[in-house]
Amino acid sequence: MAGKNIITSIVTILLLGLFVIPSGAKETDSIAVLLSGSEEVYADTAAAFASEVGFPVHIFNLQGDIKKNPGLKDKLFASNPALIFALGAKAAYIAKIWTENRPEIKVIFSMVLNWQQYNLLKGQDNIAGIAAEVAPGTQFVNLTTFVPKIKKIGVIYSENNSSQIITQARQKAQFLGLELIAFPIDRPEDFQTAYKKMRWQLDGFWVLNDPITYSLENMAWLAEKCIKDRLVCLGQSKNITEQGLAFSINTEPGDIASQAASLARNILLGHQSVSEIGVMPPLGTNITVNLKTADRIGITVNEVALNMATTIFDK
Amino acid sequence: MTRHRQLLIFAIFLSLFAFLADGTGNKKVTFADKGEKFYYFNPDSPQSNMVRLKQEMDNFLKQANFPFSFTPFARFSDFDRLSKVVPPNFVLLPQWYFEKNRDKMQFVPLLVPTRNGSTSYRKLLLTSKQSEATLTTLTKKTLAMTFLGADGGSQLTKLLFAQHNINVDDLNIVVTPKDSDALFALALGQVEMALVSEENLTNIGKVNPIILESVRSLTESIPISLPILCYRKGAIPQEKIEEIKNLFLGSNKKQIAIMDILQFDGWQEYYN
Repeated sequence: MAGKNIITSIVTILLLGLFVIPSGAKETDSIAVLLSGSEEVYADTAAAFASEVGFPVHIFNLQGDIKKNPGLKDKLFASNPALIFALGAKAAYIAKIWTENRPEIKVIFSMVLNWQQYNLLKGQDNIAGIAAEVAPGTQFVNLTTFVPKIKKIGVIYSENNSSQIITQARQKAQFLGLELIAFPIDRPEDFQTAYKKMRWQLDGFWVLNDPITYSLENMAWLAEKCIKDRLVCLGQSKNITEQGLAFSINTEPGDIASQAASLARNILLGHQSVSEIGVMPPLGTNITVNLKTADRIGITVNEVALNMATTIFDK
Repeated sequence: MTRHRQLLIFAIFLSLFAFLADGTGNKKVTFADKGEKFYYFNPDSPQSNMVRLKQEMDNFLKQANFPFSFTPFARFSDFDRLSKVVPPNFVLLPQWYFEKNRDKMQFVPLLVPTRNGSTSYRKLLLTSKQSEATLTTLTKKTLAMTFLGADGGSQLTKLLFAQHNINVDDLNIVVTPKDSDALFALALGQVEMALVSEENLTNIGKVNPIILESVRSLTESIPISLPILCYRKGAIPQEKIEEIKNLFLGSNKKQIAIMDILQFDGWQEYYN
């Protein structure tokens, strides 16, 4: 089995080097993929990116800590990359530092949770990225396609962590004909009280990945309450839908890889500058539906929406 | 390293892989072998539920005495990688992939499905209703669309832009896994254009009219063939090919149910 894996890896690596360089790009252009660690999710994303980008790709691994591989920077620069695709927060931060005095090398980061906290764009205009979280508008537009009757959606958040996303969410909700009712809290233990206060105004509830509101205890409690209160609840992970929430919308590493490959091509072919891109939301969605919950709360999901779902937990 | 040498090394490793994977290096594919593969890759389909598709198709093929393992792919990279390492016996794939790989992969076209009686569909180039974009002002605009191959630009030129003398290199293309993702990205202002099948736009518009009202069409593509059902030359006995053909061309209850899952309404023999 290990032998097969090694051979598969060799074949993949060879395949990566065989792509025809697109017209318009320089023959010397290559891409360095910098992984934060050895997790499978980074390796899979790197492989998917390499198979779609159409430029030679060299892969480098920080192994979780740059101290473990002090010669990595020299090795990466020796590959003469025109662009670095950084996967994970550590790789993104290191790529920023390494290119501080090399602005000709462009950087695309992805798989960085809460990218804003790392100031990745500050002081450099060679860096673009793809956010790890699906944009609120994308979540709402999918939700209203699944359950068109929803008009009032609630969310509990903390000002310190999520005020920016709530502002964005309000704008997009309005465009989609939704009213967003947002309730701020400061402590995780206030979540249940806040929910009880707002529940009667709502026909949907949006679970935010906010470190104050999102706890295992709160989510387990919410899954039960949503069913009991016949409320359409929307989360951001497949697991939470399996636990009992009606829907979730998230993004897959393979979709991030496709999007990053598109952006890398646009940059290297000279169509698009890094500063024009900024940090894009992920466009690909992975939609999970719990039909058992949908049935218990009395909603029928239309066939068009069901066909859009990537995973369905059935009755 | 020259391209010739790269190809030579690749061929050696691929042979080595085939040898190790089989253990003998003398693998002959016969229908009696275990693990016959039926691959599916159709990024423009309204059907995104690959788990449901696999379950239904596995059951359908099993009940019809075809012990194939049906593998649907949501992403090009997975489909392309596995097709090259473990080639399928049968495959349903987009026309652009078929045209590019038919000789190399020894794909032989067998059937093409129909939808609303047609073997083709069109994609619409959409922009937002507020946008002032016209076909002459597309330079530097970002277009979201499903994957059309590593040389997607030339496919796009052939299908859409050649008729309007638009240079595809002037656009920023961003790939999405589904038509609905491209459409929603446009509606939400994340991109400036989307390329979406007319049928998907209509279907989504029926359940979410705000989306339909927020976009307008700039132009439409020439007809695009629906995906093609192929077999791999030498990978399957002729009588089994005929049986599969008859199975798909049939019209009993189960076959019609499978059509619903695949989002087709019939099949025709493939004519080049």
